[in-house]
Amino acid sequence: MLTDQVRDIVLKTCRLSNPEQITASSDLYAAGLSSLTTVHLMLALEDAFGVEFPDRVLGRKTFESVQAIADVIAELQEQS
Amino acid sequence: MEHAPPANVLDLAVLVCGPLGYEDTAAYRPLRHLADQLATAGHLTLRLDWPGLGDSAGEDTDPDLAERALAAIHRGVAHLRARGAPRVAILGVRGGALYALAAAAAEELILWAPPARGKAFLREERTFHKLAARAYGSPPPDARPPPPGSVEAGGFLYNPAVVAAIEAIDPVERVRAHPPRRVLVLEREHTTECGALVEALHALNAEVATGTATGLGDLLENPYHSRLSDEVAAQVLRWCRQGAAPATLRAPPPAPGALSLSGITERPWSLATSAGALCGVLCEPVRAAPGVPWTLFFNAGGIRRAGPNRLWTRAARALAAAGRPSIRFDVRDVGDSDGVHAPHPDLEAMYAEDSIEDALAAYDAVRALGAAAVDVVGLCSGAFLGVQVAARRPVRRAVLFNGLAFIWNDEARANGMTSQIGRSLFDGRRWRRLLAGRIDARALATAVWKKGRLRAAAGVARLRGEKPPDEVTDLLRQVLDRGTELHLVCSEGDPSIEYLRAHEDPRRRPNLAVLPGVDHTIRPLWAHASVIRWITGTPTT
Repeated sequence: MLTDQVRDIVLKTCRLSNPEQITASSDLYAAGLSSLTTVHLMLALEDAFGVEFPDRVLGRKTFESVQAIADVIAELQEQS
Repeated sequence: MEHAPPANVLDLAVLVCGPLGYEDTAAYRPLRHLADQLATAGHLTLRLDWPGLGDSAGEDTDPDLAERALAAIHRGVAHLRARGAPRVAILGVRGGALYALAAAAAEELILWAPPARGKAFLREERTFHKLAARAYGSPPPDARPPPPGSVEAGGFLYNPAVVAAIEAIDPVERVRAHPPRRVLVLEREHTTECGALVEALHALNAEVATGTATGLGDLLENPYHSRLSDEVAAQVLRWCRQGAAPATLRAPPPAPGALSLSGITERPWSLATSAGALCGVLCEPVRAAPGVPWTLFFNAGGIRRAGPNRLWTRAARALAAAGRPSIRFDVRDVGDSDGVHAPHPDLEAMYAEDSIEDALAAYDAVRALGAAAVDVVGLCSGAFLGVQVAARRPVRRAVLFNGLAFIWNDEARANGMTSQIGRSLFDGRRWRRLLAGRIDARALATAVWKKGRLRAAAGVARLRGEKPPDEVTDLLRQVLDRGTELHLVCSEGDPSIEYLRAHEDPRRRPNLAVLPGVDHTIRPLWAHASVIRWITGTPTT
């Protein structure tokens, strides 16, 4: 499932505390995601899913949760 | 900065080309330690400060910065060869790796998390800025935006000419044009961004080794706690050691004198202390009038002497242009000063008595150089040092930004802990972070209890008609009574505002000002001129 794949990449790329407690709706910024780590996460996601995040979605809202990320990726995959 | 091997010199020397912009701020100290390790292992090592960064000449608006960066790489390689090193490897980190590839100045390369292309790197920088800028407020109506075609990121500017130069760098094209003989590629974790480069290197019959750039976030993210990955250090040292043979170095050339910059000069400054050498830069006008005040700049946490967003370097040069000398230096454990390898593992280290000792030693040294009067400048822990020095030595003027604590006591510890989760303990997001285990719950509980106990004691005192004890208020009063012109400048919404309100004496206030729309380290470019005006004594508000 897409959210599971995204969650997997998030946990591998970002050092978040108690990763087992991160759910699809967990606030990733509250869990320790920083601006710089978000950039690294973005690149890992692009690499994994073969998409490129356009400027219009490059904001905190896109990366605030696993579900939010998955929703954007699904939209980008549909468009490509 | 040269790091010479103490013994057992090997034939491979290393030129360290660090990252650019904000990443340089965080990576500076860890790369210094890597250079130390390389030298200890026998490799003569040289670290570059990029033009327009750190203590180097140039401003980020200079259009030829990229060309000067490549020229600096060539000069660095030439220096190492002149010292007698038969082989030179260039170690490039992130944007530094792009410049290393563009320079094509050596046939051995260590590429540490090189971006796939210059365009990709700048896209990352734009994204970083877009995400980080949510912490900023709106710029004032008269704020000038960066020129079109610029990239602003984390308090630093890539001007349009530099953007064009970096965007033109294609690592694969560069190695095909100038094939290196031997390369170590450390790829960022969880990406395949180096795939095409490694493939191209193999096709060119280069001797290619690959590895993982573990701990990149720890290196680049936060200058207060940045650290060098042991795994990366081991990979680099192992690669450098391979095939290395004994060598003999020539004596170093005479140390460079002053850096001359349009009527001002800068020279290295150092001070021997009980902890080793403190390193800094003396910046002075060509002709200083007698009796002018000198300025002493203190580190902001783990940020080296150039200051947050290179503001101390720029302010020092503005002061010198106005005829006033200054010293910006690193307290122990920060920048180029001696000390431990991992700076500021916790808040206690940042506010330790050792740092006060270093600040006082620097003050005394400045007076010994003939300064008739001394001003101090600091941000965050640097503001703490400014107040501590002004309480113990005559200070003419203190300009202190975002001081979160002026005395490191139980209240400051409690604030330091609770400020990690924001001003309000009743912010649900902060509690979720606590529950996620990111914060030491026991330490936080202790801090909250202490804070509550202090507030309760103050409340009881007021009920009894007694003045609550407030050593911070007393300290600020002491500084004012000594005649210091004290300016406390806070970013809008910064926790330092609450701290000052809690300790202000309404009968005896220092000058307080708020900088609207900026974060704790004042990253927005449009605010930098204001900071420099505050320091030089010409604020507009």
